Amino acid sequence: MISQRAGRMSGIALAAILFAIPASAADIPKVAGTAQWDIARITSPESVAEMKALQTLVKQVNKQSLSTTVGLLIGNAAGSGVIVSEDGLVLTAAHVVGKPRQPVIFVLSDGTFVKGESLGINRLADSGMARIIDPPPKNATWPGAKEGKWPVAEMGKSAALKQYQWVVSMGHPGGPKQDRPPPVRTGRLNTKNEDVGKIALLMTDCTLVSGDSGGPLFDLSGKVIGIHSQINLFLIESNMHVPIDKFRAEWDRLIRGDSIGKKSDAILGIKFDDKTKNGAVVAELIETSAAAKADLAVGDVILKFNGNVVKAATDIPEILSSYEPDEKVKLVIRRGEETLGVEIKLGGTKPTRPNRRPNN
Amino acid sequence: MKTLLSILALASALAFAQVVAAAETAPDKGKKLLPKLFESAVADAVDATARIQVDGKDASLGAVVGKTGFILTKGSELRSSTITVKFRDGTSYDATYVGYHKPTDLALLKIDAEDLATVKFASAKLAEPGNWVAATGINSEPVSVGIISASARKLFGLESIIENANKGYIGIMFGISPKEKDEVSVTEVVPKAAAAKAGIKAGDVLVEVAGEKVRNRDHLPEILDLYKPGDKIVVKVKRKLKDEEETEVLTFTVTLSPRSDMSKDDLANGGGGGLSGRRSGFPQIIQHDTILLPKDCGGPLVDLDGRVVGLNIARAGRVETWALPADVIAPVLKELQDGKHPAPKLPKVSSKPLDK
Repeated sequence: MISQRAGRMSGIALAAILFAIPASAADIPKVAGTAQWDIARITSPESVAEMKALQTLVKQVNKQSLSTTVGLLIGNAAGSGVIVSEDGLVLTAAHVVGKPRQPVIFVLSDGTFVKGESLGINRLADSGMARIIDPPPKNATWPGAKEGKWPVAEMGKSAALKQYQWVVSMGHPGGPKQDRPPPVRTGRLNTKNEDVGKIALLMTDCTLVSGDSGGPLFDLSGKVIGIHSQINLFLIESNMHVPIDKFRAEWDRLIRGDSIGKKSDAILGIKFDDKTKNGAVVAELIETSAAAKADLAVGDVILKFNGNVVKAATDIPEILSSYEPDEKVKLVIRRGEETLGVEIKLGGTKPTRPNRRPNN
Repeated sequence: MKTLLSILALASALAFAQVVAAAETAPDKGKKLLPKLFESAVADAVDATARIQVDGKDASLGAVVGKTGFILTKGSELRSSTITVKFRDGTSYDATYVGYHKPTDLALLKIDAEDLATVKFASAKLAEPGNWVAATGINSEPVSVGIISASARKLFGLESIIENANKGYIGIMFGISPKEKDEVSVTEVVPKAAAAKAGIKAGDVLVEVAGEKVRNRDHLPEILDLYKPGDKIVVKVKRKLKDEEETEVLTFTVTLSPRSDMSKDDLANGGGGGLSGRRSGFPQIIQHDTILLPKDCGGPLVDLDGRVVGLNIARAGRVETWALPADVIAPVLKELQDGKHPAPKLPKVSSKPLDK
């Protein structure tokens, strides 16, 4: 067997090694030029044989994950999720779930519906959990089905990922569709190595669209390493996923049904200095925003937000989450030597229900 | 209950992120080197692939299905009867439009040639999810590469409706008025879209749209099919006078909206070069994640073993391109060759936007 290191050598060298293997019935692979694909490899295939090796892994991950990838129907919204425990715990996105303890309909890959409920969410991270309450359908064939067990997708470690590593995406783009098992897509991780483990979202070029939210991103061994969250509308190669480690970090809270870091629709319109250790220092006022309209200036340090003490810029989103667009709030700021009070009417738009699509 | 809800407002904060720093490309340019690896597998299919031009502009790709010059392509992209066909070897032919089959959107063209290389379609069963596939053009490297996302399936619900999704939209929801059976009455107006901006209100009854008297609810989509977003049309409605039984006829100029103004879901399908106008209502499709421009639909879809598993028929969404499987194409091709489906009447040159 060609060692994994050989995969990184040039195509010509690889061919030379193949031909140099002494002929023996046991050694010669059935098809000349079969290759193995290293799960952690970060380069592109360099031959048809390598493409086929990568293809074999992608197909395996697809097959394995058909039973664990589910659609979610909550109210008028449709998203996706992945089953990660035998008793039916499902990982998904916070914005799919909306709130804890909501009724959820899960759609299995063969179209069967089973019922359950939402659990905890982290609205800033966009992580969410739900659980299936119904038992597996009578005709389910996965191991443990007759004992009431659900199939499980193993969770990987997102901090161990490498930039350009190949990944596989499953989900229900456009919502679950009749006679369509979750479509499989492949792509590569684009997050820089030094950012993996630090930034909030992983980016890949596995295309995602509405309905995919909450669905699983797998590595080539079939382990879940991310949950689909966002896309850049204008860049088809920019698709973003919540790292799986984020779920682990708040596991018990999510199972318990906590609502963590509710993201506010209220907008302040301030860019804070992200390098200072001296508190929440205004670096920029976004034009036409609430902050720009109020009496704020670059360099102001926010000391209090409606009575809440502010120690750093990172305190602000959590405090803001209790307020709505158009609410008036009082800030206490330090400007040079002075301490001043500033009133601000928060910007942003109150969320509205998505419309039914009109037919004309 | 196995039937799916027909209209879903999707968890569409599949949130639309602010413009993020552009994705860094892999040291080997992401997936851009893969087409080269497909060269030998697609060589035969490329010989049988045609570039179709309408009025001298690229409109679609096509597959040669008869050695004397029969070519299949995506019919809804052919806007005039001035059709030219080009091959890899540089040869170019004028084509006549022989027939059009609306459900598959397949058009059959004929050029005057001899002994052309033809495409041999393989069974759709070979298009297994996860398989690498390539869309061929008239260069030795395929236009684009991806994987099969879902094997051949029938379409249901909204995906099964035949329509031109790139048309201009009026932005109303309508029903049949309770009093007059054939009257098309506006039940809801999409906020901020064409009809709303023009002043049309819920309760208005459509009388005339773009110069045509509205016959019934199926007639309206037909009337609007030829228009594009931005086109201006005249709409006449009947509206009840305040507190009275009498109605008055009001006239509005409506600037048609794009589909993305109808619902937030469609915004997510932007990026990546746009979608085909006719991207629904096919009898069966194979779905793959190859990124393809609408003008590059209509040609063969080939796997790593050189087998032509389908004909690309639509760029259907951000995550999907659709191909017709061979089993669907074969019987339709025969019907087209037997003259069972006439070609549509087309102008000699594509019409300019209507300006009624």
